[in-house]
Amino acid sequence: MFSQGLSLDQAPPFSVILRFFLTIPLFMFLVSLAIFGMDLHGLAYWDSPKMVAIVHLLLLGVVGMAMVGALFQMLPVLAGASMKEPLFHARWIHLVMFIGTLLLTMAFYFEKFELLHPAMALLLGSLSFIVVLMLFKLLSIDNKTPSVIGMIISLNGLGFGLLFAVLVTLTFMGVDVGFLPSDLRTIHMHFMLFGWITVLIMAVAFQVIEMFYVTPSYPYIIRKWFPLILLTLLVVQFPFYIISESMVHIFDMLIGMVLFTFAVVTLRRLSQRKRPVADTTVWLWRTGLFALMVAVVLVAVMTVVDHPLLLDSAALLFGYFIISIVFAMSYKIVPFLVWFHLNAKGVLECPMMGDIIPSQYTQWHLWLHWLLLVSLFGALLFPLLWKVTALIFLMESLLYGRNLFGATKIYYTLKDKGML
Amino acid sequence: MEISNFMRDEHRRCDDAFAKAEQAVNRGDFTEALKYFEEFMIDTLKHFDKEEEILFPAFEEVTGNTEGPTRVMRYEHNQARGLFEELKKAIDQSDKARFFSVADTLMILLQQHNMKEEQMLYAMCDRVLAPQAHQLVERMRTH
Ligand SMILES: [Fe+2]
Ligand SMILES: [Fe+2]
Repeated sequence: MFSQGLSLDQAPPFSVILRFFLTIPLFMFLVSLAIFGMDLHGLAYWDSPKMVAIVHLLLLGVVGMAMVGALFQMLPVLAGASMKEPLFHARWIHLVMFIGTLLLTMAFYFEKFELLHPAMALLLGSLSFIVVLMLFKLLSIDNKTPSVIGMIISLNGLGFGLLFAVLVTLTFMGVDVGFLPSDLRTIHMHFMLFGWITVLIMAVAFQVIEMFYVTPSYPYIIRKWFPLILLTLLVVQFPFYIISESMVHIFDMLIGMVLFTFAVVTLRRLSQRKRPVADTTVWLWRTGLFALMVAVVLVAVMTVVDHPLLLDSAALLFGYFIISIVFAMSYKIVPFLVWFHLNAKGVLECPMMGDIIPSQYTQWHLWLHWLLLVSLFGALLFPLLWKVTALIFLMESLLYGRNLFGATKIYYTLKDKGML
Repeated sequence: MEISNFMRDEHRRCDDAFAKAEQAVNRGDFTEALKYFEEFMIDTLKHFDKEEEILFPAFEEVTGNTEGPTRVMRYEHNQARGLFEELKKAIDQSDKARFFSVADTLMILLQQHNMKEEQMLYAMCDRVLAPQAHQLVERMRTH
């Protein structure tokens, strides 16, 4: 109910979201080590165990942590639904996801497949608990704003993604579930990347683009329907993997069109900002959305010319899009929350956002992040450059970690100096 | 919808004045910045007063709830009032970096505040205050 949701006591403690965000640089660090330690030839095959390990390390450890942290924050603040004992749930979900992600990565990276069972149990346990808990809260809200609907849909997308993760694992163990293993993997991946991550990015964007940059709101049709259209396309699409391959491609095109339109509209909103200064986060959004658009175009080109480099580039660009948005959002949310919680504790001389994460450091991060894009493409052409890419990503993880831990340090130094 | 529409327009007008102040600071024109900032500050403070003296009491009377959403909104108004002082200081000292650091904080605070009002509180007001909506808006217009 509305009146319980908008109460100060139920704003989640800062440490709830912080524990998820602070884990991101650590996993980025591990990703860079994993790329560094890889045989260069293995990097050309997405299905090689080491690549599977790296992809999951990135998407669960870096992106998943950010998404779940964001949900914990958004649930009470944007959706007005409070959760009992958020700290308790955040603690155990974070810990279980953390261990599960490490085990899953090790299972593939070191080909110790016996680790797969505990890894699956931990990840399925924590992630499906999130789906059930949050859906339960969100569905009971009276006034379902488009962002609430978007969150509901993304949680459904995660649910489907988890279901197909189980099916992929079953086929992996030799059980026949009727789909080709490679198709199941693709379906699992699409639900996770589009149905869960992209839909949640949309739901968040509908709120924060307007809020951080003071822009006109997204067209109502987009806010209301895009998340639902995206998930519906995915749900209707998957049976066609058995029936008709050409229908699958048509659905892929439609999904691409939704993603492309979202990118165009968001870029347009960013250019309609009332605030004059394009800070680092505006550029991170632009960079990420541009990568998304190029990725869609490359996949479209694939219907005409089929070259493996097209799919590789599109996949890398899509990953680059997601992490750019993670950086863009955390560089606003973390310093704002530091200020907000310190101010709420009555800290005098409370540092402002620009003091909490100095803009010069985020600027350096942006440059490094652009350099990463250059080296990614270099590495596609000259595999030796993967070592350089790993190094740049490692530097990015250190700088990002410095920025987030610096903000955290300011919070913990000042939080007991308040008058309230 | 009458309450929502009236209040949302006020929010947008305040945004516009603030954007002009930011643009002036960005150009380094602090005299112009002060002019627009004062316009923004006066309008926003008036808007807060309308809420705290007219709209919120009416909402609290009908719902019988003084500890809920209106308490959070009043609290955030006070947080914003504190930041106005800081911004004024930054303009007086012609300190561009400080201005944008505070402005970023204030804008996010105000925008998330306005969004909560527009999507939740005003929507509730439209519903529970429907019979007196017209009269309330008139009172706020002439406040
Ligand atoms: Fe207000
Ligand atoms: Fe207001």
